[in-house]
Amino acid sequence: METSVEQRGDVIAVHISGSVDGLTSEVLQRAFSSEVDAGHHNLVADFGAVDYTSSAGLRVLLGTVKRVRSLGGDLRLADPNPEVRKVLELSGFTGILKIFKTVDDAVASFGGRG
Amino acid sequence: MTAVLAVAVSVLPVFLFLGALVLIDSYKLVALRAILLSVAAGVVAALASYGVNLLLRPVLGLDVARYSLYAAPVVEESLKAAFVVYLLQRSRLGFVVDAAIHGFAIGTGFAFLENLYYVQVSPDATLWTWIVRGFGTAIMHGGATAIVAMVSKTLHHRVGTVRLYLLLPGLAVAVVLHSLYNHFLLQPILAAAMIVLVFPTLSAAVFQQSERETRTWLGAGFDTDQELLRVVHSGQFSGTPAGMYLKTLRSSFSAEVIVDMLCLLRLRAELAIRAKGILMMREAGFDAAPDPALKDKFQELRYLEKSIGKTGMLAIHPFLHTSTRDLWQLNMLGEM
Repeated sequence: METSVEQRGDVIAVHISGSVDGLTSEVLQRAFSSEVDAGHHNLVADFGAVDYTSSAGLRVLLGTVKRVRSLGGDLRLADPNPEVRKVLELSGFTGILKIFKTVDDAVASFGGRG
Repeated sequence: MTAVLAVAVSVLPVFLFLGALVLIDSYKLVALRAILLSVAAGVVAALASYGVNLLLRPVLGLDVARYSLYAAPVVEESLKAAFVVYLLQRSRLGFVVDAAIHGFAIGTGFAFLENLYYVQVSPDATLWTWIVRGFGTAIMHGGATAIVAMVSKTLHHRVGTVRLYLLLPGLAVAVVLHSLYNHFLLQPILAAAMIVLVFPTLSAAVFQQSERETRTWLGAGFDTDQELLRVVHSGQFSGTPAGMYLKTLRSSFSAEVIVDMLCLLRLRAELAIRAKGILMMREAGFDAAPDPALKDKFQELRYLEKSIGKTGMLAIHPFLHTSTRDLWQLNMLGEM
């Protein structure tokens, strides 16, 4: 799994590719944590190139949402594949995580901050 | 000393302790309604104990002191444990943590009624008496039944089915502790102080260990359920051992039943993911919103089980996740 970061205004898009599982979720956690530690609290997780996410990846997403919301920001998910989206819906995470079709939509959802 | 103060001192500590146990459970495994039911079961156990003690003492020919040392602990712990058996049989205990909470709640109900009774019959007792009963005896009752529930849950989880003899080790420990407490080997105040110090420490350690176990089970279970669902949706199920087994059932069951079996596997996996998702959300500090669609899914589940029939359910049993925790998570979901 690989991550890259793109700044769009005061929104940070974290582009993720590959599988997010027990072995790689720490990389994702570090990517999010370093942005939050740097004072970026509006995050977009670009899941367009993620083919699979295990419970470990979902835990990272939930933990990060909790953290950034407590700081006044949010983490939003963009472009998950149908399988990942299905799991997010079944597990009930869609009640917490806001999901958008594209990264642009997710960034725009933060208002004029993108 | 007023009766109100006596009731407050003798009853409040055990309820506060129960509240603390519920609060430190980060997965919120037990719903308030279920806790209240266990407290009520404890009240019923206290009433039953009163009756049994009244009848049994003359039969055994023991004076009150000896009866309270040797017979009462057996009677009272057994009657409190009866509801633990019920909870185990109905797959209402998923982990050591919820077993501990239920057990302590039963003991709380028991102590509540017992202390009310003592306040009624001993209006002249000193404040120290109620402190000992509130911080010592009441928490001992809660702790003893919590031990029965925790040990029994652990053993039942290992064996996989409910067996009455698996209750005995925990029950024996509870009876011995109860009897030792009644012996007042230590000064009553010292015994109460020890219970107040030891039980919270023990509970914290048990809760920490159980939460680690819950976290591991959640992660592994979620990924397994997700994989099963992926295989079913991708059309590759027929190539799996479970799919090949289903094919062999075609000679014994109609095509409609085979389809229902596959639907049942899919639905059970979906519900399992939902249940584990709720626990993961709680773990992260979120409250899971009620899902109205769940009612329909459970209706569908019941329809499928009926359509498949008992023989069919037995036939697919090896591929249904039916461990005590798998059944518990469905119950948890069904009660939301």
